[in-house]
Amino acid sequence: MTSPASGRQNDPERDQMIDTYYREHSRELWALFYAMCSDAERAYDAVQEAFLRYYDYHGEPVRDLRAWLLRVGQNWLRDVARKKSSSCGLLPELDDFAGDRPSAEDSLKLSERQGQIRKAMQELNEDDRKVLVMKYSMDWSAAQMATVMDCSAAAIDMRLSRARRRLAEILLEHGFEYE
Amino acid sequence: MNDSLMNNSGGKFPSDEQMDGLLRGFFQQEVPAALDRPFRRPAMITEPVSVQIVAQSELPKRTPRNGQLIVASAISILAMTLVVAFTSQSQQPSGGFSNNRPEQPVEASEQLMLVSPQGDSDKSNHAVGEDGVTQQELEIEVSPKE
Repeated sequence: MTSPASGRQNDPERDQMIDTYYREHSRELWALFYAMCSDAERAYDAVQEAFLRYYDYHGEPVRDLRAWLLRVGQNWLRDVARKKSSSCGLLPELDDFAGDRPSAEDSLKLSERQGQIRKAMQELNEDDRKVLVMKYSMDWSAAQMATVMDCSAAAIDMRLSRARRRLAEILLEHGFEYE
Repeated sequence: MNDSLMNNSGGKFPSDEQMDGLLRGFFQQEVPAALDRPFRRPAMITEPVSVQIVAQSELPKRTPRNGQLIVASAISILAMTLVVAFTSQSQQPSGGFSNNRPEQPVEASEQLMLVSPQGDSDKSNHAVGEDGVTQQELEIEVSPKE
């Protein structure tokens, strides 16, 4: 996507473009960042950071905004990993999920299962993790993923199947119990 | 491979449907809900609004402060007026101050400034004109060195 010339703040057209782009692409960027760091909150922070940097950007017009945001987010994730800082916590109100809250016991159980799966996900290689994230967090088709990963849809299907199987193996190795 | 895993772990290898459901549930919890909300801009976007609010909130505070300044200024002006009035009362009707000494006639030697860097030489002691210029000073002016 070609973005309009950037650089001015309080530019309503540019602000609207950023809003629209965020609405349409923030989830995809989150998924790609999540595939890199396996940390939902940190991936979300990377998305915010990338958009904020673009919001404050005053340089040359950005030709490919998606690539620009990806690069900024990746660099930020690398910096954070290098500094080994703790994950930036979201604001309390951002942690709220819609719907009724589960009981404390259910929350604990859910949290443990989430942690086990997250840990298993971290043992996958990045490409396997990426196809799983795109498939299950964004519900993308194989054709859409193929565009992003620059390969055929058939290759994506194979990779997806292999990644799912590999994850199941890791979970079994860790003694994960299926419901 | 799957058989060996099942034997080792004592568990059952999940079906594709199970893994599918597991991953969907996992990512449903994992994706931050905040992603569905609009982009949160930096605070500077709302700067004009906040400036306006601050200006309005400061207005009632400034009014009494200005009033205090005006009262303080009025008091100081009044005090200065009183001081001036008091000092004018202490003056004599002729306009001089009461503790002034009576005027004495000025001697002629005091009227002419006959002090010269040459000391008490003849040329420097006697004034040539009414303005007190001595002969030596006059000579210096008449025949300057080349």
